[in-house]
Amino acid sequence: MNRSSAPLTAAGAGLLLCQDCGLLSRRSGVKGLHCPRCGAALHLRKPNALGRTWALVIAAIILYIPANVLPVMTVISLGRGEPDTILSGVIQLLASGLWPLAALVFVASILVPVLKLGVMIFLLISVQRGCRWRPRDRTRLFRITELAGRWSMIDIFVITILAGLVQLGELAHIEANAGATAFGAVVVLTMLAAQAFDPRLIWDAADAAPK
Amino acid sequence: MNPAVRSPATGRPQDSIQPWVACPDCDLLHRRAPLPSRGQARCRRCGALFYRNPSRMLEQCLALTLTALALFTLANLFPLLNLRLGGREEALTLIEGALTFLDQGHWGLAGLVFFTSLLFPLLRLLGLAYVLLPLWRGRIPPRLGPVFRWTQAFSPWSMAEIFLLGGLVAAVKLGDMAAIIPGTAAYAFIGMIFINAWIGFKLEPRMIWDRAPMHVA
Repeated sequence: MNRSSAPLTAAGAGLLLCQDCGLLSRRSGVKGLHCPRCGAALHLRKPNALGRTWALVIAAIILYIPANVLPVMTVISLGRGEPDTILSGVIQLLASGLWPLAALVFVASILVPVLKLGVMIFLLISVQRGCRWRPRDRTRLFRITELAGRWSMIDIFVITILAGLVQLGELAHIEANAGATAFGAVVVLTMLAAQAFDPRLIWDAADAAPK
Repeated sequence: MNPAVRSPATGRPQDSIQPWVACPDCDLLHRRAPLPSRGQARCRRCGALFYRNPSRMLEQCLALTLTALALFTLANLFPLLNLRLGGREEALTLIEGALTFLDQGHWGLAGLVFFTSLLFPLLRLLGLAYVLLPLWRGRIPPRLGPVFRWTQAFSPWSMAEIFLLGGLVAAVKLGDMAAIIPGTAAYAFIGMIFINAWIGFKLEPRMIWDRAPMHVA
């Protein structure tokens, strides 16, 4: 492919693409900038995509600390409580020989959030530095990150069902703790961060003439 | 099949740009081409999926949506899981599961679980039924564009299948200390999740967008 001639993009042709329904509108004369078909706000690129994505990523990193340090739930049995963090929950599963489940929870609760934050930071920095390296692979990386993030919610649902089911009063009951709220917030923030990012910025940088 | 497309600014037909599609991921313009049945169109630069041409999309998605709604209703009427321990028995329904955190004072978690495991899956199915039923009968429902936009927006936040996997992990975790018996709702819920996945596979949003009218705002 010839790198010197910029490919014809919607932005280059003076067209706005609706991110919600895919309709193309002419930029000239569109008042209020709303899609005439589905009503979504129209922008050439998502507004302030880099700043908003950074803000959400940084908020997620900050909350990631209490999410892992604080207990997510406590099993109270015969008056004695055993607080569990996300990591100690995985270790318990390993100790009871349930290694497939331990692997599942480890991937969903620990690996995916860390990788997702790492990928988002990498994409943000690569776009900000005008990087032209393998835009197709970086776009694919973004798509996978966007799809995988929601699976981190699994631990929240495990706690929901444990706390809901084990309500045997003095004998045993399970309570959720503050770590779970922090972890839920991390998952929501990383999902919002992926939604705020605009993968077309990867290509804008790749299409730009070298400085 | 396409309704007349008009410019939002002038109200004049906009036919000249409608043969074009832009890639949502890399913004490259492509000429829209008819697809063979079950074919798919992808961006030639970044590989993003543009659209597919599934056969009998409307009626199959409608049938699946109505089935999923029926199963979802069942999943809410009966207990999801029963726990038996030392002569005591506890039953948990879906809504109780979602609201447990409220009793324990974690309203943020309660909201998150309620929205992602109950409300968003329900709104997504209701939105699909609202859009698909009239279209299948050859009519355009009022405010099709905005309703379908919201239905699509709920999709990533509708986490019924993740909730189910979480339930499975919880049941195995408790397996040592108590007997866990899946209730009627568990089977309905599993059925609904498979049908949800099938809808996700079958639904081609562009076929619905093509039928949505333009409003000059």
